[in-house]
Amino acid sequence: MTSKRDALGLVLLGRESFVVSAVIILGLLLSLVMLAVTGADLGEALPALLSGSVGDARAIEETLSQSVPIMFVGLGVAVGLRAGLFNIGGEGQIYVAALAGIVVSQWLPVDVPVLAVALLLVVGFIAGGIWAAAAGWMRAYLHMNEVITTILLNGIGFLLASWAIHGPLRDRDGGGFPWSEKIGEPFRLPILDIGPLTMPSGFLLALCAAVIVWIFLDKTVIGVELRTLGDNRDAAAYAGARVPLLVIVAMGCAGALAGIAGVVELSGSQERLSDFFSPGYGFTAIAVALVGNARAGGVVLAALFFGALTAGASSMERIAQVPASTSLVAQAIIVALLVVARSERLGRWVRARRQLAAALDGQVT
Amino acid sequence: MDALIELFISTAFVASTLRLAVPLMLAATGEVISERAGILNIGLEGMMLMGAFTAVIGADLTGSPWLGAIAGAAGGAALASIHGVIVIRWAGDQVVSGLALNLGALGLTTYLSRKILGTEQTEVAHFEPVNIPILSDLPFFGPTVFGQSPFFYFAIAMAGMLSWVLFRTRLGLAWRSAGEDPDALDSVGVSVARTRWTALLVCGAMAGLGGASISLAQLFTFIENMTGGSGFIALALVIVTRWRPLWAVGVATFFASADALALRIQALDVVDIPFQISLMIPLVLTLVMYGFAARAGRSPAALGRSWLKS
Amino acid sequence: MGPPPKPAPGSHLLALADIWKRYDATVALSGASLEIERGEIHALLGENGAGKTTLMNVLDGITLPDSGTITWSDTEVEIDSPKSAVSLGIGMVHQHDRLVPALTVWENIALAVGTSFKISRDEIAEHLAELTERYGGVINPDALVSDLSVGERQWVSLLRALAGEVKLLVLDEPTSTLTPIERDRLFVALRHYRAAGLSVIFITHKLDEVFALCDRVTVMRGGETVSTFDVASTTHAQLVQSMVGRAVDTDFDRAPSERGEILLQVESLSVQGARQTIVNLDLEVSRGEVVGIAGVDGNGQGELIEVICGVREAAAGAVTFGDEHHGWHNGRAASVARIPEDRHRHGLALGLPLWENVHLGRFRNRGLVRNGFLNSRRAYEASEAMLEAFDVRCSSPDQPSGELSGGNQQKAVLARELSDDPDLVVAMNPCRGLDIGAARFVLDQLVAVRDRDGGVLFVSYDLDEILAISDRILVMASGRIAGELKPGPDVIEQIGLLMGGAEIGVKAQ
Repeated sequence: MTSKRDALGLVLLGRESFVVSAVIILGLLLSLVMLAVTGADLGEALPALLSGSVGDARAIEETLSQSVPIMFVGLGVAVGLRAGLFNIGGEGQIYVAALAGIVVSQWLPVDVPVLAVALLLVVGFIAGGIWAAAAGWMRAYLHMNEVITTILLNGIGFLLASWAIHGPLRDRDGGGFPWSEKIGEPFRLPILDIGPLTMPSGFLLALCAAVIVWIFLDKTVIGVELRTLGDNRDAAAYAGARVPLLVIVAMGCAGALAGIAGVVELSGSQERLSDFFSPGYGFTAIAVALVGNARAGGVVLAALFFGALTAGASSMERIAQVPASTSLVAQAIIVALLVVARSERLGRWVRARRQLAAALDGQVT
Repeated sequence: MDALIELFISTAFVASTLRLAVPLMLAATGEVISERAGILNIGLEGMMLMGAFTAVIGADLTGSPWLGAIAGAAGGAALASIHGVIVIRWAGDQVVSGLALNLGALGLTTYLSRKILGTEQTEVAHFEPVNIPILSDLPFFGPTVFGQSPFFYFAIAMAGMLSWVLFRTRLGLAWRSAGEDPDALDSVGVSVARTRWTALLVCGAMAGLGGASISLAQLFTFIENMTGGSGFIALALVIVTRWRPLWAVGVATFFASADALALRIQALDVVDIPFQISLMIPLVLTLVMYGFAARAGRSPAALGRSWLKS
Repeated sequence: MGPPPKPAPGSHLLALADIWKRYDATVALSGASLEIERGEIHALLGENGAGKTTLMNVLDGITLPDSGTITWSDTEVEIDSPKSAVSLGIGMVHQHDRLVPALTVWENIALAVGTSFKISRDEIAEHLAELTERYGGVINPDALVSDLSVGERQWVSLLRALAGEVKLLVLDEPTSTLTPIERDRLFVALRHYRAAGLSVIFITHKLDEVFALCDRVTVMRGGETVSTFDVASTTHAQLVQSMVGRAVDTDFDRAPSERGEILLQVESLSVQGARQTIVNLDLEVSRGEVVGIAGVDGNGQGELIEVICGVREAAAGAVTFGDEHHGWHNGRAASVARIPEDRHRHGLALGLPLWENVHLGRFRNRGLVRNGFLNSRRAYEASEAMLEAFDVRCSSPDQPSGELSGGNQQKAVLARELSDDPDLVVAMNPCRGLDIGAARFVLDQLVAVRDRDGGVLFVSYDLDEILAISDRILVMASGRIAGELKPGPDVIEQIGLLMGGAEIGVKAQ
């Protein structure tokens, strides 16, 4: 006899991966409906979307490359979320870290490639970490909401980088563009060949970061403390955790990961800092962390998905003249649907149905 | 010294201060109402952008800036109603919903503006400054202060009116209760959901007007991401107002004066401060003002908390 | 105040018939019935959890019953919101007031009374002045509710309920937060009210109040209305019998014990609390004793425990654990167990699995950490043993603690706090919301700590629990220790007096 519980499909509903998949499919469908309604030629746009994201080795490299920064920043947002903090400051942290990376690379021209890259990663980690830890400090000791402080710090961080590349760090031979000089050769991350495919080495680094984040959150004492803080601040205090310190640590980790995103993007992809360095990675990363349910593995998958979406959208713009900004709309729809999927009312409804199912089971058996 | 006087005590400085203050006043006043009722609206930026866009479309279609402004308010309110469905009806997370709206508004307005308006920036029917008779003839700053766009007068009137509603009417009492203690409001038989909806729609419409004031009274057209973070600034300013609508006028003006100063420094070239650094002044100022306000002020107790009838 | 007018038979003001309400797994009301006449004060008597408040929430439209009928002045009505209750003429004063703390008194009254769009402070203030003239009390209409004492807030709630056209006033445990003087004033006001031919439902678990004030009494037990008596022709014993329905089991096997060294010393402690200020409080807990703190909710017990547990700052004074050579760091040692008041708010991280919850804050003490990394497998295995020892019913240690029933959650907290054989236990209302069996289990555990020469500081709002296991009883009122007593047969009355803030210097040292 099949259980009534199964008949109601509740086993699936309880599974996060099912919920997320359903939300993504529904979100994409809605986005397509929007495109169709506004008169885009889906017959042209859809193939362009697919070929631009997974169509060939070049497209896959682009997808991986797009997923690298949002994976790093998304992992950071996930650490924050698990500790009950919302790091909206990825943009600012990326710019500040990339700026620090440029400065250090010019100031300390290490010429051993491995050392140079390691130095760059450390610099990004520290710069992004400090920029976000400041917001953590304001939260812990001044009771300032990190959502608002990180948004303001985004603006300040961006302006700081912008000032540097218009002024002291400007590339005099840059063809008149306000951007920095290219970062030195030893500081660059290579593109790896694996069989028929190519892969930015930053992608491997991002996967390593995911593993480290997973170990950090699940297998260390600080990780447990952070998660307790995120689940129930009072319980964390009762259990003797130093809450203000934890808040600063959590924000610092989130910013450090965003900082690494900045230097990896610098050394592995763009090679110089400009006013258009980050096309909103910090915000897409929030969608990544939410869709990934703030779990390291989930973030990796979500970053790949959004990376593919971004890569596909730009090919859609090239081939089918559908503006790439539609991928923003798709992101927004997916996140909004996800909020509903994880909302209190739906949670209540599912619980009520479960009880009903359990009662039915009880009557049948 | 003359240079400093030139910086501050000039009609150009006052004019640009007031001009920059208007969108912030409108949006911040709206957000004060929504937060008073317990709804955190991070999507304020998106609502402003949407309002700026729909206002341009409205003015373009009808040829009337007035109808354009109404379309702007409607655009902001429409986006707010999505927020309402997510956070009031479904009791979803308010911060995440607001972020999604910002993202969506940016994507949608960019996409639609290219579709509808094309890539050329067409100037649409817009507002000219309105001179208030007699007052605008006053010496010194008379012509400046009383020669602003209609949005300026409307922003001040709305701040006054919403302040009255908030503190002197049953609706305002319900708003404040919904933001402080929704259970208590429910226990006297007033619908928390309906109360929060009204506040949120007021906020959306005000934010939409704020956006419209940029597109219809400053730039006369729509440009991608033209609000450029004003909504986020307004969000921070709300804390500085300590949730009082009338204060939004003063706080927005104060912030705008820093912003105007940054522009003046550039224009006059009196001090050798790079453009970006002077643009940081208002941001840092907001952070500092927020720091003081966060310690002194107490936010509505149920702000950001979803509420469902049990 | 003369005797109540005899009502005409068959014409009740209100009749609740066969009301049922079921929550998830528990039945809150099973066929409760109640009839209220015009011009009577009707007591609804029952122990905590008997269903009194749920029944009144049904009457107020806050809770919708699953089945049953409500008849008001011989017409069947449906009460689906507090608004419809108000429009019928039912005024409600809840046990925990439903005032908005951030608003002023007059704004809170305006919220519930009247329909005009514009609200006028002066009109409300005038109305309030009339009410205080009739029923007593001095209330500043412009005071913020958060600045009022608990008793004043209760009074504001009462006046607010009376401000409309009320035919039936419902008071839920109104005296639990009142001083004796305030209580007397309330009784006078209610008799006055009855004399005008209006009715009152007076919910209580205190027998003396039934006899002092009420005309009839309906007893509730386990969600049912057991029986209704005329107060004039019933006795204490009769009411207790139908209220309890069982013999009270306060029989704990306790080995006699000697007070040993001091484990916890609180000296001249002053705390600025949200609800109550503590001034200059001293107490100590030694080995071999359970120190019970009795008192009405909101008299500073919560603040005291929070300071002892290190989550609230004291304004002045000192809390010392053991002595120096124990090396106890702020009480954050394995040898101090903290059982917080509210397991949801303070005790557990509801989203985290049980196996992590039973080690929260104690991973290091239990040797489950090396170089900052958890030994997850050992922690998991240890948790299995702990959950079994404390009989926590769960599907596996991986289950999030939020999915457990209240009793099992409390047992999980106990498993965490008591598994290291602590020397000192600080527990606040550890039995709240538990069924009798689970409560007994918790109290047994506390007594076991004392019996192996540990010390226990035990705060409870339930006097029976305090009397059952305490070796010394401190009574807390208005942020002070009002007196200290030894348990004994006649001690209840003295405790009652002290809880009410009586200035009698009983120091049965």
